[in-house]
Amino acid sequence: MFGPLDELRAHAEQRVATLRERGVESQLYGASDVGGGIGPLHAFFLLTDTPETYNLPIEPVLPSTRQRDGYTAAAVAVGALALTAFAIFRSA
Amino acid sequence: MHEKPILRAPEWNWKVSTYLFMGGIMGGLGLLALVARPGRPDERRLRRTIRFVSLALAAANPGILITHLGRPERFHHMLRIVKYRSPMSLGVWGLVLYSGAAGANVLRELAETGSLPSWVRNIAPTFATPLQALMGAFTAGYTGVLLSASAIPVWAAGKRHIPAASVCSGLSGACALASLLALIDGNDDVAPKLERLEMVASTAELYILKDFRKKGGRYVRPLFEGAIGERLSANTIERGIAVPIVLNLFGELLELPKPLDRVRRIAASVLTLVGGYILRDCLVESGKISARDRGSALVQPR
Repeated sequence: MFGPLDELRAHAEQRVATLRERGVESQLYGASDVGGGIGPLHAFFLLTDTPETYNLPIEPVLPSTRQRDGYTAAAVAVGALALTAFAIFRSA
Repeated sequence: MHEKPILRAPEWNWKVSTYLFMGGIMGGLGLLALVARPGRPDERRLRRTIRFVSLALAAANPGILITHLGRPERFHHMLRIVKYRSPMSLGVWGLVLYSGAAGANVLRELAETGSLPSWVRNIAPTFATPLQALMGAFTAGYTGVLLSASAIPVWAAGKRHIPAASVCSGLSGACALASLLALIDGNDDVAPKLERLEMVASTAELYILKDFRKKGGRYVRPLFEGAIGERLSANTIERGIAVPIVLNLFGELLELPKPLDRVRRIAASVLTLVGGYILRDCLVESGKISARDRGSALVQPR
């Protein structure tokens, strides 16, 4: 479906409510925060089962957010080894 | 239940392993060249050797990257943008700046020893040595960040461990290579310093790998268990780290006869270098297995 996002979300929520009234367990995936801090996705889905049944990750994480920790760890290692290197070469 | 895997396994081969391995060595060599004092004859000779070898590596490594990219023009396209959020983009720039600095340092070296006219010194700035060290450190570390900034669970779980281990392994590999080159060069005085530094870097690497295994839980099983785990354990942890540390300790504590000491040095250096390559190769290969681990892919590491 296409249209303004607010209308699409309202429509989807209504559909979820209808399905639940009929006894069909259902949920939206990606309309609001998916978990893992990603926020709403660019596309969202109405699921009638758990996300993993659809091959959708349970709490997806943005891979690029790991870079800060990675560069920090590398910088700490470089700093410690550089100090050691200077100490070893200067003491000899 | 879906039959299709959630993640697509990376189609990476030995070229990537070699690229990561050489990136680490280039980084370590940059640091060694910065630490070496021109006033000491042995360290000056070490710096001279490193300057030539690091330029050769800086020339070879983009070559491997370009053949891996499949279409050479992709490398050119990467030089049209700088994207801070992409380690791949930053890495290419790190490599380019490293190569430039390495080239300038070779020019300086040739001018200082009279192989080139002395005015050449003026076009090769003095900051080329620290720049090469800085870009080298970046090149060694970013190879780890490159892996962890992906959805492959084992790499993602190692967001701190893999970059830190890459830096340590890069420096121990650089010490081993420099030690071999010093042996060929007959520069024996510098060897004990290189061996001491190598021991520290290798010990740190060992600790980081052990900690990665302990903290990584299910995510790191593809790296530490099965055929890859055995390969990593035998070639990197035992023969690539533990044995060279012991051999270097022998060199430190015992006064071995010269021919035997040469064998010891060659063995320690070669084992360290092989272990460094196998570490990168196991990281790459474990990513392929990790991609097929449904449970890890569904609940991704933070």
